[in-house]
Amino acid sequence: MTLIPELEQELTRAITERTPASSRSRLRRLPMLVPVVATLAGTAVALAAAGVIPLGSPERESRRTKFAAEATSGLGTISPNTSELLALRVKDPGSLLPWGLRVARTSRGLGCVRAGLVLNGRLGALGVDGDFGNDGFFHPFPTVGTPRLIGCVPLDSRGELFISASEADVPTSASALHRCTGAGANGKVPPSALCAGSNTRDIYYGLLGPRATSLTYTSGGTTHTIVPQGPHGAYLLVLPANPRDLNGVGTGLIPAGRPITEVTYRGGLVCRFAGGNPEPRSDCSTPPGSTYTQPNLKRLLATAPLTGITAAVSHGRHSAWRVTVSFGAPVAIPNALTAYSIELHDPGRPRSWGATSTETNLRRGQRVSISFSNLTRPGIYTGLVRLTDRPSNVVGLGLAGPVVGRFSARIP
Amino acid sequence: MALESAPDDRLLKWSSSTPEAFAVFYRRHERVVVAFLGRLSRDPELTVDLTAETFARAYRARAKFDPERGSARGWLLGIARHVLAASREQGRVETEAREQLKMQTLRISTETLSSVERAVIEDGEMVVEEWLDALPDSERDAVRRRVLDDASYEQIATELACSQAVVRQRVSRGLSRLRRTAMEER
Repeated sequence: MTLIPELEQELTRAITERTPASSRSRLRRLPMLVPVVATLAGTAVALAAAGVIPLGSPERESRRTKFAAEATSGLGTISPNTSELLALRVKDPGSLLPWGLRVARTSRGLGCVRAGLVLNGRLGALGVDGDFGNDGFFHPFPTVGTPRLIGCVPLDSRGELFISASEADVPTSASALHRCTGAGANGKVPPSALCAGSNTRDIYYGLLGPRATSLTYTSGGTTHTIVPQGPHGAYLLVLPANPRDLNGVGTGLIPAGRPITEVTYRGGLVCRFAGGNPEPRSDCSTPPGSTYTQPNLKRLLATAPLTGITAAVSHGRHSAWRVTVSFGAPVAIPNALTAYSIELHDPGRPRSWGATSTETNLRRGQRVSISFSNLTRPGIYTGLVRLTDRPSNVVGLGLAGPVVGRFSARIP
Repeated sequence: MALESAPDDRLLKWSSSTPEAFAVFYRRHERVVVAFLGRLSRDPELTVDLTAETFARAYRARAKFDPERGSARGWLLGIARHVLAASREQGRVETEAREQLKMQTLRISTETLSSVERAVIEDGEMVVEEWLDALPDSERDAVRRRVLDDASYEQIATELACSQAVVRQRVSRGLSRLRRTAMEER
């Protein structure tokens, strides 16, 4: 989820307007990424000689985070008894411990997967590479609280999780701090080579579903095929970090392309990922075997009483004004799959707008109050409230949906 | 999904013809920039303003980014630090890059400000410490007090029990080192 959606939207609008339509390219025309052969020259962690790894504090404590987990807002919290360490293990020459996957469900209807190192049935990270004070301990990832933003998507309509995630420059310690990302700036050595005493990995992981029979990927100039594991069709690739293959993180319902080139399913279906996207055939646009039923928002609203929307103007900071929009939720928001989005348009400039959305559960009829601040243009601001849903193939909320109501406010 | 997994230099290059590419770049680095600026400015509304100018400058300077010289994160934090320093000197956040892009004034909701506050609490300390990691202890202390705490040279000298000249030298050397390692962009 974007922290400042108003900024992302305005940046995109401004850049789009200055980009001549004739030169705008579409995704399908983007050049393919060129994979570069990298050598898996893993350095064994210093602890190998000791043979025993002590247990350290949970991961979050070491990060000094104060974020309070909220079951009814954002991604929600990990639901009790839903966290499951999968049997899949992947060895890495650069780490003493094998990599594994853990899945969980959240209180707001999302499913999540996380990759890390496995020790005694727990998923976590090692205190090496500068993390956890280099204590050499194993630090389990928490199984309660708020999940990471990476690796969560809506469950399908039967409650099954289909997901594909990727993370670049992950240290072989599996630390979520990704310290290696900021390294490497002397002009010659790539970031991955500078990560204190260790190599970094690009990891690709997820659940393809029970129908998946094989996954093919390329690495080091060679093509490999693996069999997805277990009833979820789990896969996990731990490859040498290569900034030309992957940079940053990504989460979706289907593999994001390179280095994954093909997934096969029972019944002979083959999904190929040319240039990062599935080939244009409907069978592969959502995970084969999944069913996503989006709520009929218009029908929901048709049976709901429309309650009044008000827009109150008040003084904000620095001589600016604030508009507070309030309304009673016509339909309940039970989870992260739906929300209300609120748009505000400048006086006389209907194309300019700011928008935000509720990111919390709401009871039917519950009063919602959202404020827009820093308004300085005098005149009549107009806006509308929509009921939006979370498209099945993206993590963020959409901004389309039926209009719940409209409002206006005059700034002196 | 191709854009989501594309390297930063490609995203910046494609931004000239594909606005969505810069949106992906923004989403990828937004949290780090917000956490960094939020930790330094301690004001969510100011953080939003600084973040907007930082990304507008990054878009303007996209052709200068060289992945061989360092990460996009370091490059962005370098820009962010300059935007912050200029705002402290002038008493207001510069808008030059945003004006060039013809960006309009943002109307920020209270929910967004809450998200910003939360991100700063969660990650601000970590991001700043990572940024300072490249410095020796003495320079790190001086830069932290000067840039993060906005302390005067006199105050820092008293706290570190050394002369103002030494403090100035440490801050200067530290920032130079960060500039070299982060390929800072004004």
